[in-house]
Amino acid sequence: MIVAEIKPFGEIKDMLKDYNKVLIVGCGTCVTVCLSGGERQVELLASALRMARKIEGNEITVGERTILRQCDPEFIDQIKDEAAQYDAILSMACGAGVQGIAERFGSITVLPAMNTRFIGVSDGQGTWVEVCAACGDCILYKTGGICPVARCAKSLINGPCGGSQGGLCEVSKDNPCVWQQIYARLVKLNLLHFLKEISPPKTRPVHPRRLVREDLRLKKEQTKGV
Amino acid sequence: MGFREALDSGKFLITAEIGPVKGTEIDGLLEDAELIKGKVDAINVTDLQSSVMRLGSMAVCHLLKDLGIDPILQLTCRDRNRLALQSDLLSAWVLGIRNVLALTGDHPTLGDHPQAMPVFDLDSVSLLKVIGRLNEGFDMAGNQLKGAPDFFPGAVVNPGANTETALEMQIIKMEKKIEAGARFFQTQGIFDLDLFERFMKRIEGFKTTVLGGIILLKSAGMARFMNKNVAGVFVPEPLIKEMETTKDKVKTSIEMAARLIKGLKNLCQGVHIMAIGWEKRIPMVLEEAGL
Amino acid sequence: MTDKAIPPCQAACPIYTDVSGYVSAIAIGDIERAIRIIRQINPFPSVCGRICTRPCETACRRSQIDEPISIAALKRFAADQTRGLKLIKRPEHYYDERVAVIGSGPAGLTVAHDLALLGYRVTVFEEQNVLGGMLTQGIPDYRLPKDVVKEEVDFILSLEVEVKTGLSLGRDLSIEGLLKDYQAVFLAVGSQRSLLPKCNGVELSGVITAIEFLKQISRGHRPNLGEHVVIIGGGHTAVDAARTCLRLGSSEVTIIYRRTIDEMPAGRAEVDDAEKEGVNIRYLTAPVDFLGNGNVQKVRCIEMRLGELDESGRRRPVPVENSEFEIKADTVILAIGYIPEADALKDSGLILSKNGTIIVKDNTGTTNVKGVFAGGDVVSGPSSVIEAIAAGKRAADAIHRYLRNLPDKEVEEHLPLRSLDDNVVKLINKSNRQNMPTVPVEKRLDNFNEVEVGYNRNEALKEAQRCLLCGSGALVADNCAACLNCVRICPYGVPVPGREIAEIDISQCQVCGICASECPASAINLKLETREEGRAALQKVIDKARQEAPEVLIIGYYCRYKLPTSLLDDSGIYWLGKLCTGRLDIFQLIYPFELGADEVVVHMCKNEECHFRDGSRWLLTHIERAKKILDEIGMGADRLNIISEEDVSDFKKRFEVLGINPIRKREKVRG
Repeated sequence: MIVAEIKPFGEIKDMLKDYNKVLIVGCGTCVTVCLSGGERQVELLASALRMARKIEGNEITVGERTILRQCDPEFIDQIKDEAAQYDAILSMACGAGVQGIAERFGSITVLPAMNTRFIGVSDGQGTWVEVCAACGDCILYKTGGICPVARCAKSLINGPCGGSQGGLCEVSKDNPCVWQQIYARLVKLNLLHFLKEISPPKTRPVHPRRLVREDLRLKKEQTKGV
Repeated sequence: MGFREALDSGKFLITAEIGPVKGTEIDGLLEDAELIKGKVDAINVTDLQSSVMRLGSMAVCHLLKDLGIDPILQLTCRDRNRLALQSDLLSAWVLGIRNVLALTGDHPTLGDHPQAMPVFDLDSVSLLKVIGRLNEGFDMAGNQLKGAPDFFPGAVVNPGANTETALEMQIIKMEKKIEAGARFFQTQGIFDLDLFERFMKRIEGFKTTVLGGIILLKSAGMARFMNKNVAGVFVPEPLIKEMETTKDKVKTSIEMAARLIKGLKNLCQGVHIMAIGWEKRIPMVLEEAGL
Repeated sequence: MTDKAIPPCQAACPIYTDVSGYVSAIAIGDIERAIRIIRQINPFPSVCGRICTRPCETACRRSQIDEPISIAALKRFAADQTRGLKLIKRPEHYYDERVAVIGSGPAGLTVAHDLALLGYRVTVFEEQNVLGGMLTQGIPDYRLPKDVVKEEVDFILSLEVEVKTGLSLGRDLSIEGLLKDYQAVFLAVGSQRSLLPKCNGVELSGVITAIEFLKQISRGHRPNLGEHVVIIGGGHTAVDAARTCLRLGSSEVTIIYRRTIDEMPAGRAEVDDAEKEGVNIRYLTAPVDFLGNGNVQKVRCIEMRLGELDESGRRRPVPVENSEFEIKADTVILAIGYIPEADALKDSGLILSKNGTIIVKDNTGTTNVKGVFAGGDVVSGPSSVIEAIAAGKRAADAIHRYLRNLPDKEVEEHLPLRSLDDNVVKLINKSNRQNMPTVPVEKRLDNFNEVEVGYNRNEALKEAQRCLLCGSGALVADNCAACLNCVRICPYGVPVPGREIAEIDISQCQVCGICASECPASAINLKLETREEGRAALQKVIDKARQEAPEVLIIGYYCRYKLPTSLLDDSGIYWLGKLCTGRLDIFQLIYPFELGADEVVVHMCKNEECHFRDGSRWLLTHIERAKKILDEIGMGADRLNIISEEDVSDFKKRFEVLGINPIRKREKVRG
C-alpha cells in the first residue's frame, strides 16, 4: 500500500488561508489502512480547521467526504456536484489522489493534506516500513525476497557497503543492514550463489511512467487486409 | 617507479592517505605530501570523505602528480551517476592520474549536507567493471572511445567486519571486485593482527594484492570513538590502555603503528597508512618500522 | 456465529427477556429504563425477581469466569425500586370479542394481561377467593410476600380485566357454556391434586398433602403440627413446607427424598437456606409405611441407592435390602407430585393425557376444541412460574391471532451466543457476585417475614456491572478498509482478518470499544453506546449547559464502571458517562471545544483498575493526540486534562489561568 502521513497542521492551515469553503475528501483505501487519511481523520481535521479559523475570527465552512479511492475518476465523480459548491478541495489521499481529483475537476483548487511517504507494509501496530521502490525491474528472485533497492540506504545490488556495524545500517541504527537479512535468507534457502554473481547496474526508470496494456483494451476496428 | 610498477616488482608496498581541505587553502596539504614523497609508493586522495563537502580528489591528485608523487584517485558512487563517473575517469586520465580506488562511498546523511541526493547509480563492483571497459576503449553503453585510458584499479575491503555474516559478505564482495578487475585492495585500519591473519587465511586462494590499513591512534578517546562508530575498526583493550597510560602519546602512537606494520609484513603485501592529520609523522612511523 | 444469536441468558429465558438490556441499564443507574425493558415482556417482575427458577443464571457465561450474574436479584431490585411507577398505557380502543380465563395463576393472569393490552375484554374466573393461584396459595410469605403479588395482580386488573371468584370449572362453569358468552376460553386451572405414595397408613390422621397445608397457611391458619414433622418429596413444595413447619414451631423437621441433592428439583440455594434454618434432609430415603394408631406416629423408611437411568434421564432409585428404619412423626406432609384435578376437565371434550394434563396441538396452547386454549401446569404438569408466564404469553398471542383471523406466528429461533473461548476467558477480570442480603437465621423462625432483603443501590449497580454485556459489542460495517488495526489492538484478541474485511465475533467481543475508537474508517460501531448515541449525548449536554450558561463550561467524561462519586456532585462540571473511557475517540475529546466548552476533563481509572484491559492506556494515547491538535489550532492543550477525585479544586484554579474558550469569547463579543 501507499503509506502517507498528515502534514503539520500549520502547513495545512496556511495552504487554506485564502479559502472559506473547503471540502475535505478522505480516501478509503491505502491512507485509511495506514490510519492517516480515512473517514475518522477527515472528521478530526474538519473540526480542527473550523476551530482554528474561528479562533482567528475568520470562519471557514468545511465539508467532509470520504470516497473509496481517489485514484479512479469514477469514484471521484461521486463527489462532483458537492465539490462544485466549494472554493477548494483538501485531499487526504496520497499524491496520486490529489492529482486524480485535480485532473477531474480542473476548475477547482485541490490541495494536499498529506505527505506521501512510500510503498510499504505494516511492521506491527502503528508502524509501516518501505519495502518496494517501484523500480520497474524486480530482482527479488535473487535476493531472497528482500529488496535492497528499497531497503538499502544506498540501493546497492552487489552486496553491502563497508558501513554496517553489528548488523545495523550506517545511516540509521534503527535499521538492520538489509544485506545481512538477504544473506541470512539466501543461506536458509540455499541460494547463496545469487549473491556471488555480479548484478549489472539497473536501468533507471524514466518519469512519468505510463503503463498501457493493449491486451486489456478493446481492439480498434480492423483495417482492410489484415 | 610508479605504484603499479612497485606492485609488479613484488616489493612491500607503502601507501598513505591525505584528505583535501574544505576550501582552497592547499599549502599545508602539499607540504605534507612533500614530506612523505619518496617514502611511499603512492598517496590516496579521499573523495569527499565522510560525505563532507570539500576540495575534490581529482584536482589534488593532479597537484600531487605535478609534485612527482603517484596519486591514487579515490572515486565514490555517492555523488555521480554513470555519466559523470565515466567522464571524470577520462578527465583524471588526461590529468596524468593512473590509479583509481573504486568505493561505494558514505551516505550523504552522515556528512554536512544531509539533504543531498544520494546517487549510487553504480556500486563499487560495477564501477570497477566500468573502469575495465574504459581501459578496453569502450564506455558502459558500448561506444568506442577515441583514445582509451589504462587505469590501475583497486578497491577496499573491510576485514574487521564484526559479525560473521558481515565478514562473509565482505569476502564474497571482494571476490566480485576481483572478478570486476580490482588489482589491489586497501583495508580498513587493523589493530588486531590475529584477526587479520585469520582473514588473510580465508582469502588465501585469491590472486590479489592486499595493503593492510594502519590508522595512527592519537588517544584512547579516539580508539573508543572508533570502536563505537567506525565500521570494521576495533582497537583491543590493551592498546587503549597503552595509549591511556603513556606519557608521550605521539611516541606511543608511532611505536604502536610500527609494531603493527612489522606484523603485517608477514601477512600481506603492503600497508596503507591513514594518518588523519598526523601525515607529517608518517616518516617517523616508517623509520620505526624499519621501512 | 450468526447475527441472530442472542445472549445465552436471553435465549434460556422462556419469555426471552432482554436481560442484558436491563442489567446494563441498572449498571449505569438507569433503573427506570431497566424496569421498562422488563415490564415490556413480563407482567410479574417482582414475583420473578424473587422466586424464578432462573434458567438465565444457569446459562450465564460469567460462570465461565467466576459466578453467574444474580439476574433475578437485579430484576427484583428494579421492580422494588420502581413500585407504583405507571409504565404501561392502556389500549386506546377495545375489540368486541371477549375472552374467558379460567384460573388466576401466573399463566391465566399473563393471558389476561397481554390480551387486555391488545384491547380485549377479559374475564378471569377463580375458584378461590384470592387471585394468584400458586403464587399466593402455594408459596409461603417468607419467600414471596402476598403484597408483592397483590400489587402485580392489581396492576393487571387495572387494565379493565373483570374478575369472578368462587366459581369452579366443572361445578359452576362449563366450557360449552362459556363459549356462548366468550369468543375464546383459556384454561389455566393448574395441577394441584397431590399424588399419594403407595404406602400403608396414608389415611392416618396427621398425614396431609403439602398443597393443602400451604393453602391453609396462606389463609392465615397456623396449625400445630407437633414436634416431629416428616416431609416426603424433593421439590420446591417440599422445601417450602419444611421451612414453614419450622416457623410453626416444630423442632424436628425432616425431608426424606429418594434420590440425592443432584437430582433434587428444588434449587440448591433454597435447600441451603432450609438446612441453615434447621431442616434435616435425608437423601436416598423412601417411605415404606406410615405407622400409628389413628394418628400417625412414625414413618418406616428404607434406604435407596441409584440404579439405571429411567425414562426421565435420572438414575432410578432402588431399595437397599434390609435397610429399613423408623423415624418419629407427629405429622407427615406429602409432596411427591401433582396432577390436574380430574373432575374439572372430564366431559369437557378436551383430549387429556393419562396424568390428566390437557394435550395441546403446539406450544401456543391450542386445544382440540375450537376457541379453547390451555396453558400452565394443567398442560405441562407442575412447572415453574416463568414457564407458566411463557405459556400465557404464547397463548395470548395465539388467541389474538385466532380472534383476528391472523396467520400463525412464525417460529422464531433463539440461538444463544456460543460460550467464551478459553483464551478470552483468561483475559477477563474476575469479580465475584454480590451476596444477597438476608435476615439472619435466628430472626427468621418466629415469623413469616421475607428472608431475602434485596440489594441496595450500590450492591445492585456493582452486581449489574459484572454483566459481560454479551452480544452488545462491535459490529463491522462494509466500509471497513481491512487495515487490521482492530486485529492488532483488541486487548482480548477477538478480531480476525476475514476475506474482505475484519471480522469481529460478536460472541467473543467484550464491548470495551477500543477498536471502534481507533478504526480509521469509522467502520466499527458498538451495539451498546453507539457512536451516534455518544455524539447525541454530547450535543444534549452541551445544549443543556449553554442554556444554563455557567460562567465556566466544563465537560467531564467518566468511566461508568468507576463512578467518581464525589466529582459527579460537583455542580461545575457537565458529566458524560462512558462505558470505559478508552472508547473515547479523539473527536469526542476535541469536539466539545468547537461547541464552546472551556475545558474538558476525563476521570481516568488507574490502569490496574480498568474494568476491561488497556482502557486507561488508550485513553492516554487519545488525550495526547487530542492535546496536540488543541495546541496546533490555538485552543491550548491545557484545556484538556485528566483528573482524579482528589484534584477538584485544582482545575477550578486552572480555569482562572486558562480563561474562556476563544471561540466562545468571540461569540460573546459578537452576540
